[in-house]
Amino acid sequence: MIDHKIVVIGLGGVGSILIERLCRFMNFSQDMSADILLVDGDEYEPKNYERQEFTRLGNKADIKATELETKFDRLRFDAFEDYVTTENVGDVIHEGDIIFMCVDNHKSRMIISNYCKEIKKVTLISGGNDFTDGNVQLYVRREGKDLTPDLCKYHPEIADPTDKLPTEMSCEELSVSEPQLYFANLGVATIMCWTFYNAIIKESYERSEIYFDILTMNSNSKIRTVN
Amino acid sequence: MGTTFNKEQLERKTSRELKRMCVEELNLPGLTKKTKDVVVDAIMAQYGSGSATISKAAPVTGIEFTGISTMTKPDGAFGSRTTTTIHVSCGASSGNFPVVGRTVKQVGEFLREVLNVDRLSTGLINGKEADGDYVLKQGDNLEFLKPAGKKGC
Repeated sequence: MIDHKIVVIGLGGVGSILIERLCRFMNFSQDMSADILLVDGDEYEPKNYERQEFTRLGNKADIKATELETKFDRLRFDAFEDYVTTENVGDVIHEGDIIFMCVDNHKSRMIISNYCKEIKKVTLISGGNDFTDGNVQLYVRREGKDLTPDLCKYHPEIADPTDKLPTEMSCEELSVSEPQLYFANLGVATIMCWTFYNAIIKESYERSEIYFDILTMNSNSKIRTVN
Repeated sequence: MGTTFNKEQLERKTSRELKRMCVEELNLPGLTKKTKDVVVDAIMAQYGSGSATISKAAPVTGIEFTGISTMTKPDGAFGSRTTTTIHVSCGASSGNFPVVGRTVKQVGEFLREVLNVDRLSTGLINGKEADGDYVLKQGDNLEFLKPAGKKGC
């Protein structure tokens, strides 16, 4: 029996879709169990029903942990009801974790990717989308060495982000959200599940970035070099 | 007729404005991943310590294809022994194009609309970052980096 330590950061449009599929797969896999930490400082509100899966209003991490433990009794859930920052990232991420990053800003991606570089063994799967396209990146470290590039290496917009953490934004900034397509969130969540299957079940890390585009109906995976 | 900037004026611009200026107006490749200080220093180094003169470059209107080819499949069927195309991709889009002998920068201009290539996109040849003036050769695989998706919450 393999006991995984899973961390899902962000339980909005991508995270709330992903976590249900991931838990169903893990709960009914005979050789697998997991401790799952759900991380989000945001609240589910009625406006989120358009793209996000939840049954009650309240803190996203708390609500999802409560919902999922009644559906998937072989898995263990915990909630971290805050956004990830440089101050608390060490409380969220630990050696050996498999992290699903479903956030909506590059500054969080940069902080988490950089923190993972200090860990000996970690698997980081990060997804993001614009309105009709998106990408997923896989960062794998084993025995203190990068097996795939970190999130920043091929993405200067993540290495040098111009956006803010949710904790740095004003109420006005937080209340303004860009329109998103549910199917783009679904595409990211699905490809993150494919990436988990390849990286963790098949131990295949060769293709560490995957792009998709709904309008051209294309997807394309990339082989990235570490050095 | 160009516009003259000094270092102070360049520093007042955003990092993105400076990088766009390097790509579109100054023909200074390889700076899209650099910090603002490095970009400003590169512009000043190229155009003198006192000021930098910015002038619009002529737009690229097309691409000349001179038919450089190599016999890559000598045992192949008649008519398929040579190939003059290389694989070019950007994000989810890709294709094989007759761009051997062209520079990375020219191909980026040529395929901008076809592959949705951003003007600031860095070119990778066989996975390694390439200079905009690199001349493509047989067997190269060219990728223009597409920025990561930002949203998801």
